[in-house]
Amino acid sequence: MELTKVEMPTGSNAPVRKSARRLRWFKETLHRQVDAISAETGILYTVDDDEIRALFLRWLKAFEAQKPTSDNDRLDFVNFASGLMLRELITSRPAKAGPLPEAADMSNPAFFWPEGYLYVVLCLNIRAAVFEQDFDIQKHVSPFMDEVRTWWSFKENVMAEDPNLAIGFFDLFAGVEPTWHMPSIFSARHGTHPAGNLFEADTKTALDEGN
Amino acid sequence: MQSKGHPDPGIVAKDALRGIRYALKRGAKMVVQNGPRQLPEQFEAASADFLNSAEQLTRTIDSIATHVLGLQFDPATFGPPSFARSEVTQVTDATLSRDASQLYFALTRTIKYMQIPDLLVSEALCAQVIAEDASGDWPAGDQDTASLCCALYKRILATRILGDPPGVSSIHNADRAQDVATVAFATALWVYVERGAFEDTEVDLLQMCADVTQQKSADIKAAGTADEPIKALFAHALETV
Repeated sequence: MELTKVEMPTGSNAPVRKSARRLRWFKETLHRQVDAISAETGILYTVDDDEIRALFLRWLKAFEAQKPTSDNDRLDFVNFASGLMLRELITSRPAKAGPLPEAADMSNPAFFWPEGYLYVVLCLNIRAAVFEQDFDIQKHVSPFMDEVRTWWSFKENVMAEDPNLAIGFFDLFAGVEPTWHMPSIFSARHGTHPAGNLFEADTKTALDEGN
Repeated sequence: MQSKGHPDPGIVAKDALRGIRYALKRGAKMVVQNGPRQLPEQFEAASADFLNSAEQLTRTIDSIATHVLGLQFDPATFGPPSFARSEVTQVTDATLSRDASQLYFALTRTIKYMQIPDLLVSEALCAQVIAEDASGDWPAGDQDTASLCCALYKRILATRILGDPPGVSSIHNADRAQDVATVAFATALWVYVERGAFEDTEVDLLQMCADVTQQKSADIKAAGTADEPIKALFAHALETV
């Protein structure tokens, strides 16, 4: 699956890793992601900037509280921090999708759950940009991104049961082995998949290049 | 340029008018809310009608005064004071007046956004702070941004630009000091935060500064007026907004 790309703000010349911790950068990137997905799907969104500010600051607090000191953890912390961001987006729900186009294919996650799709794509894009800049690694998404059954389970679990599960589902979409037990605790991931990618071996053949 | 400690009489007059507007609005509100319940039952409806009319009249007077005297906030001209820009070296009466007005509105908008009751701002004291800057006993312009924020923050606190209206506040002193510190921190942050890389309006930017500040309000309280912890908090906030 090809992710809907987003042109990230570059005005401050800081690396994405640092820019993503900046409220103005995050807000503008989210708006640009909304515009890009709207252009692709025809779905119009309304966005609540008050919610964006609040969720971003909650995310930053969680990020800073768990930021690892060891270099060995840096790579997987990018996955984890992206999952934390998805959790906050799903908890706050700053975007509301308008009506679907008439011919919308409900087996396409972008139409099945437009808001969830927006949040996941945004977090995957930011994660991919950090991996590319800081680690020179091209990241790809997993085939689960295309599976509407996974999306059904994702929506059901995070909306009705526990928003923390968004972190596990994010790993699943990102092609990282998910942690379902205590997913919001970074140290609980240690030893299970420090920076693993379930689909690393398949990326050249099974997944789209350049995502 | 006005001499140090003697701000433009026009600015002092604005403060006085704002004080009158505040007293009128607060008085009308309190009477409408509480007055009728203190009267015999048969007078309540008539008095409520009369007092509501009085409140409307107060609003009308307030609106006229606001427009005629130029006291109203204008988002189109709202922006950081010129002293925040390193290339500005000369302070004239006009820039002093404009800067005092920008600082005043930044403080009042922050108070409103944070929903802090009964905290007033003096534009005359804003002008005094800026005039002191121009007189030379202000940190040099080559300091880092966190230090500039810290200096302005401490200057706002020391000059008592923010204060209770006499006799009306029911806020505990410690809570009020915390309110004042939080508003001063958010405003100093907004004055010096980097601009140009993003598309937000100045009002948006001020709200972001207020949100970032409120999240760190316990740390700001703990830091007191000690330079290094305050500078560290500003450095973090400048990177976060």
